[in-house]
Amino acid sequence: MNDKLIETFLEEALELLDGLEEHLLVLEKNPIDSDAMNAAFRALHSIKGSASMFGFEKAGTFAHEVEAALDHFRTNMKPAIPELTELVLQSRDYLRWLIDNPEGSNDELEAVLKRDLAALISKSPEPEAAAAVQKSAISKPASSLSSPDRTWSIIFTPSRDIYRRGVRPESLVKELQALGKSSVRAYCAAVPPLSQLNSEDCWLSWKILLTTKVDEAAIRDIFIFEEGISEIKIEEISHDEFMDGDEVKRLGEILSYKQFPADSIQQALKKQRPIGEILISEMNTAPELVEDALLEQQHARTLTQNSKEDTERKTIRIRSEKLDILLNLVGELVTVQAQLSQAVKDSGDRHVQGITDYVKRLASELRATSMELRLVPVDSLFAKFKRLVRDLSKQLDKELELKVEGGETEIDKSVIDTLTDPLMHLVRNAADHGLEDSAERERKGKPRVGTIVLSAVHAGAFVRISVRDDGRGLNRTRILERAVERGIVAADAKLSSDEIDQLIFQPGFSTASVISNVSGRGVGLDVVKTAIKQLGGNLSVGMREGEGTEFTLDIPLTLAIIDGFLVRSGRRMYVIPLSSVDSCFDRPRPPRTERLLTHGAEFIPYASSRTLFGEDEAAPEREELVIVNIFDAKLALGFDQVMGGYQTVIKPIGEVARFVPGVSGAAILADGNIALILDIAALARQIKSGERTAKS
Amino acid sequence: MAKRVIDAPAKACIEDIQAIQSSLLQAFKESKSGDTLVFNIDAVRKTDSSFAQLIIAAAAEAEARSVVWTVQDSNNANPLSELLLCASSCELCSSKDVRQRAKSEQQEKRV
Repeated sequence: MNDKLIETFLEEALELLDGLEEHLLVLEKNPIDSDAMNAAFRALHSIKGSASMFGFEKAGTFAHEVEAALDHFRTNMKPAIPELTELVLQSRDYLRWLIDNPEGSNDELEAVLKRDLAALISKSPEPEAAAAVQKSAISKPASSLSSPDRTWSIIFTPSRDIYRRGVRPESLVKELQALGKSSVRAYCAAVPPLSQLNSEDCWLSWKILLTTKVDEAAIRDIFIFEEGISEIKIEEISHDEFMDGDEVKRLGEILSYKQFPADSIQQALKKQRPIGEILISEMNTAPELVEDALLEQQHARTLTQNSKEDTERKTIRIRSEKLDILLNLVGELVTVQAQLSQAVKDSGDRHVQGITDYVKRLASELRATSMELRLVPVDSLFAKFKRLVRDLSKQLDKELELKVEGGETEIDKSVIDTLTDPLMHLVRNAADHGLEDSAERERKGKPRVGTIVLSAVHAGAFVRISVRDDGRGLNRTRILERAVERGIVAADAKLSSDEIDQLIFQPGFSTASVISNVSGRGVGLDVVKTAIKQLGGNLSVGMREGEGTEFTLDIPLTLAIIDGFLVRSGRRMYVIPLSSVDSCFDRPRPPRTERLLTHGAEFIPYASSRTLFGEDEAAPEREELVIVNIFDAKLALGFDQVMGGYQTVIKPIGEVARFVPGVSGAAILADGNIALILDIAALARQIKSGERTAKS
Repeated sequence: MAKRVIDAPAKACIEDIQAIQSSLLQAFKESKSGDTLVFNIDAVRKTDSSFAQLIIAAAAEAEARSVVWTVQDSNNANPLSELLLCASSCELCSSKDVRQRAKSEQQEKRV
């Protein structure tokens, strides 16, 4: 089979499995959530179908077993009991394994899961009267494509003299069609042969299935002048009649719903010919009944088709590698365009200059659009942790809850991909170390359920992601003791609270006395810190004793291209992310000892680039100041010259340069020289801690 | 086996329907069993459901008289299903099907 098709299947299957997990977690919290139940069923149903189609037979067969169990609860309108969600979650994990290992199988696990699923079905009784109360909550329709819509069956039999009254009956049908999605059938059986026809009489009638948001009164309004003259029958019909969730029912199923004898349907089905044809020709079934069923089936197809087309029109699936290639090409274009602009500027040709400016604008728009293509909501990342927290809750025997804030915040896909592991560490740490068990929390007057909050918010060129818990906070005394024990700090060291907090990021550091498989091996936080640094970001920790801990990750929005602000210090060029720049102005060069700038009513920490990066050339008499924003603070940086806005392709820098404080990357300038891209957040930390670099 | 072609006018609405019916009835009267009647609606530009009803009635008449009935709509500009706003694909809405059905019924009768 075509590799691309298999790849597409794998991508879709993994998405469906993720979706299934999410719906199951919703069901676990609200066992009568019919939307979640139907969505979980649909996900399983789709996995089953596509797995078999693409040769993943084992996954397809197993999905069928799981689907049967879920469907038992769904069709009998039973709440999803915890045993069901637990078992289907385990089955989902096994399905994932089967898809990852199409040649493998775990017979023992599969047998246990199948046995337990079967047992669950057999021990689960048929719905009783009490369950009927819940029927409205677990109602079957749950069609994602029509939740606010209702479907009406309208039979319009015009009066015989309608044409003579100057009314065109088809105009009324057209008006109905304009109200929503419709399927129409005209009935012509009553039309007599031509020789018996009074051609000004109307012998036609229509049946219209209309799915719409309007109510019956609005439909009747269309027939306002026919009321009492023509025959108009309007009744609401349930989607269940012709749809099974979002699936179109088969003709036999629709007839069955209409109380058509099951025996006749079975007999007709056995004949391997169109069921409607057999029912009419061989079983004396009224053609109208079959025609009605066919109309309903057709209407269901119209609805699903519209829904699919809507979705297909809105989205297109593209492999992320293709977007990477696109972005690389745009990056090259941006660089070449900068070189072109420089060359044209040097040549002094005003005509070509105009064209070059236009190319520059187009390149800029192309860059912005390409970047947007790669942005995905951070929710897609956060969703993965719902299952983790749920499993940790069971594993650690703690009542835990995960809350997500700012899930709609968008961030570059490549950044998201690299954040999974660091966040996993932090969430595990919060669950294992940060949060107390329920008994301890109650003793402290806290809610029994410990909360972990994952949040995301944009801030200039960065996105700030935080993992916050309402647990016990960091035990600084214990951290210091442990650091001394491990020889990380001297026994007589005098450390500030912040410095003590930073110790937890030291390699091999852990305060856990017992090593568990959740955390406590001391390989967590330093790995997280390094991973975040490699992204050009920063990890920090804050806490309030007894109230909780918050880890904050400041991550650059993108790793590819930025709008920069080009500045010069001596012979070196630097790029500041434009989104960080607040303002700039020039002033006489201040004494080297100046550390604080008075700017209006504000006092802003100040540093000269010459001090930060070490310049031995003679400094000009005046200095150009750039004031930058770092989240909720400001920083003033002094340079020799501000060159202006500059679109920059970020090039990775070598391992050695990577750890030069305050530099996050490099850019090739139009003249071929290199500019260093400044990491403003790192510079701020450096200035704050009074460190000095680079003179070496 | 004679073949007659009846041309429908450009305007075939309720106001015009009696005249069209008359010409069709005349054609049927002049046809014998087994003859073919072709109703050419290529020129029809304006129409309504009464015209569709007339075609259906004519098909029923042809069936009763064992005449082969064909609706010629070369550009498919006036499909019956559209005139009736009907999404069904039943025989009546397809001139080809109507023709085939009439033929096959005739053949059955001959047998």
